[in-house]
Parts: sequence; structure tokens; C-alpha cells
Amino acid sequence: MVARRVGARREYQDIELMTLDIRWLAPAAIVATVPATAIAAQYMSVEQARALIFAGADQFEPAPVSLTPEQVQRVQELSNMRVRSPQQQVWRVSAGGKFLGWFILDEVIGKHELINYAAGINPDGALRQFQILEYREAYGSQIRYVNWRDQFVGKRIDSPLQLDVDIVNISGATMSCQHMTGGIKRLLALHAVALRGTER
Amino acid sequence: MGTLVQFAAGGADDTAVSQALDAAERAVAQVDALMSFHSEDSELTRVNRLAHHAPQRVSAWTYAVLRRAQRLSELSAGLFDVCVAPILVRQGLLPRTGAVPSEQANWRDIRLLPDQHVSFARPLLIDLGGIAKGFAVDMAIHALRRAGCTQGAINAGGDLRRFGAHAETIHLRRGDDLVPVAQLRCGAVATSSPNWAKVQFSEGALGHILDPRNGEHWRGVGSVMVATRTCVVADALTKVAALAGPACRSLLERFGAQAYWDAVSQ
Repeated sequence: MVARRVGARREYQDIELMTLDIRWLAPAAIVATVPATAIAAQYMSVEQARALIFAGADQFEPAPVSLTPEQVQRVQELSNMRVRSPQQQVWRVSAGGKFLGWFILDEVIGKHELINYAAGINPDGALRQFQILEYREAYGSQIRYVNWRDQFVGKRIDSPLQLDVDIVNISGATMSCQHMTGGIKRLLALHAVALRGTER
Repeated sequence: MGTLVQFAAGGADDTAVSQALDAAERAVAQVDALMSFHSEDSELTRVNRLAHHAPQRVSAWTYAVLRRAQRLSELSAGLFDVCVAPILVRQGLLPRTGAVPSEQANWRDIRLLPDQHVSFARPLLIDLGGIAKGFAVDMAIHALRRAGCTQGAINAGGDLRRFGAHAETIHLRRGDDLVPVAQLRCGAVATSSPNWAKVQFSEGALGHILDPRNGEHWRGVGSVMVATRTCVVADALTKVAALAGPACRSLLERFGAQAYWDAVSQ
């Protein structure tokens, strides 16, 4: 072993000068010096989600949807999910003039709190991918794991989209899984009712 | 030290980085050579055998770890104690040695004397398993910094420390899953989990953290993570945080530490 000429105490002081720079992600974190209430975890920005879902896209053209009462009714019938707001933030996505699909911002209730997410729908109405943007529940954030989200890729309005049927549940996160699955189903219904045929 | 240590570093010059990593590895090896409980010829073993007969001179590093351990014991009112080894030996969790230690001995029986000398008020066994690994990580990080690295990360089986411009995602094992719990750019994070070193006793699965107050094993589920500037403190504070729970908040604040109790069992 190499003999040390510098005393440990001096080395010790040097390394203690370094700071702590940590950001907790875990929603269940009880962190000293921070009240242990309502710790939200923002996982990514809308811009990051856009880049992940539609890699290579160069245009996101706002195409907000405002559902008529009849359309709301139709979406609810198709998805078996309640439509809480007729307004939906939608973007028409293209790359080099070629239409790639729709980018939609949405939210669902997890167990008690809202989950914000972004979804991409392909021109043919199949789900491209979705990303969790913000998650506020104490438990269940596993829904953002890629292998859970990957199950939804390619799902269509006529897919069952049901837990334990074509979507694997995450034990301990059942409510979040259920509501997330319902949200995707509702967006696919929204596409069928309000977006299909407007591709240009 | 019975665990896999990962080294990573970056800097302007590849040769210098390579040499820095060599120095970091030597630092970890040296801490192990000095403070291993298991090794017959470590400095710690000599202290454990002889310090109740006569004061033993130890290296600056061992002395620094002992001083830090004593301070943590004092501030945690004995919740952190490097003298629980006799119980661990009796339970077969640490190897038997020739000495006949007292199970009643505690950190107050360790005397830190001038000129890096240590003596014991009665026969006892020090086990630095709860703190030396963090110290080794600190010394390795120091070696990287001294060699001019602009970024570096050392991970000794869950006791990790890093510095540099970029943040790293810290994961926690929850059953078979790895859950991301923090983004660490600079500083140390240590984790204690009963799932890592589970020992089966007749009454069920028990963790490897011993409560110095009653000699019983920590029965908590889930994991505890402590983040602070140095890994030696983070390593030791995970044991206190596991045993005391959020009640140890003022102690954590004293060290500028943050703790995360992951109550979700696997």
C-alpha cells in the first residue's frame, strides 16, 4: 500500500467543502427540512415529451379541440370513460411537411391527485406512445416505467384496453394503472370522434 | 470490503484520469486493509486485540474514522455505535476472534488519545462496517479530485458519492425493481435496506442493523437513504435514520443531511 504523506484531517476538511446538490424524485420522499406533504415529481417538460414521442418532428401546429355536447357523448360511449372537459390541447405534428400524427396533453386522476401526461397518436389512429409529465401520488409512479407504457403502443379504439385483459396491472398502483388506461382509451375515442378525417 | 466498488471519472486528459482511478482504487484498498474486521492483520484487528491492555497507535485514517464515529455516537445518543460487534459475533454475523469482549461495552469505552492513540476501558470489539465504507468512498473521491478530474463517481455497494457538472439518477431496489428516487449532482448518498443483507432467524427475516439500545435487529421494512456532503456521514446516518425514523430530523439537519424513508415493502 502507498504511504500517505498528507494527514487525513487535512484531506477531510478539503472534501467536506464540497456541497450537496440533490433533487429527490420519489413522490414518497420524507425529506428532513422539507415538510412531508404533497411532494410532486415532475418527470419531464412538454418539450421533452414531444421530442421523445415524435423524434425528428419539426412542426407542432396547435390544433385545439373543443368537443360539442354530442361529441362528448360519443367519446364517453366509445371509451366508457367520463369526459371531464370538452377542451383538449392537441397539436398536429409533421416532419418536413409529412404528417406524423397528433400530440395531445391530458390528465387523469390517479388515486387522489392528477397525473399529467402527453400522448402521441399515429395518423392511422394507433397509439404511438405516452409519457408521464407529472405525478403527485405517494405511490404508483411505476406507471411511468417504459415496459408498462410500452404495452399501449399500437393500441386502437377497438382494443380492449382493460387491466388484466390486455394491460398488465402493477400491484400497489392499481388505481393509477386503471385511470391511466382509461385516459388512453378516452384519447383514442377523442381521435375517432374529433380528429379522424382532419389530417389534411 | 466484501462489496463491489465501482469507479468512474472524467477529465481533460485520459492518462491523468486513468492514474486518478488507480489512486482511487488504492485508497479504497487501503481503507480495507486498515479497517477490515475480518482480516487477521488489519490495524483494526490489532486494536481490538490489544487496546484494552495498552494504547495502540493507529494510522491517521483509522483515527479519523474513529473520531467521526465517536462524534456520531455522541450526537445520536448512542444510536450509532461501533461497539455492537460482540452481539454480531455471537449471532454468527461476524467471525469469532480470540478476544472475549463485553457485550455491555459501548462507544464511551473507546478512548481517543493524543498522537493517534486508541485505548479501551474494557475488552471490546470495534466493527467499522457501518462507517468505513463511506470513508473509503470519500478518500477515493478525494484522490480523483486531487488528480484534477472534473467529474467522478464512486459506488461501494450502495454507498456512493459523486461530483461534476452532470446529475446522476439514484435508484433504490424495491423487490426486483429499481426505482429512481433522486438526481444527485454533487454529494453522497448511502442506503440501508434489510433486503440486502437479510439473515434468517427463527422469528423471521431480520435486517443487519443492530439497535445498540437493546441488541435487537432493526425490523423496519423498506429502505432508508441519507444524502449529505460526505459519504462517511451518510453511511453512518443511514443506521440512525433506520432506527430512529423521522424523529432524528434535528440530527440530520445538524449534518446538513436529508433522509428518505422508503416505506414500501417489496
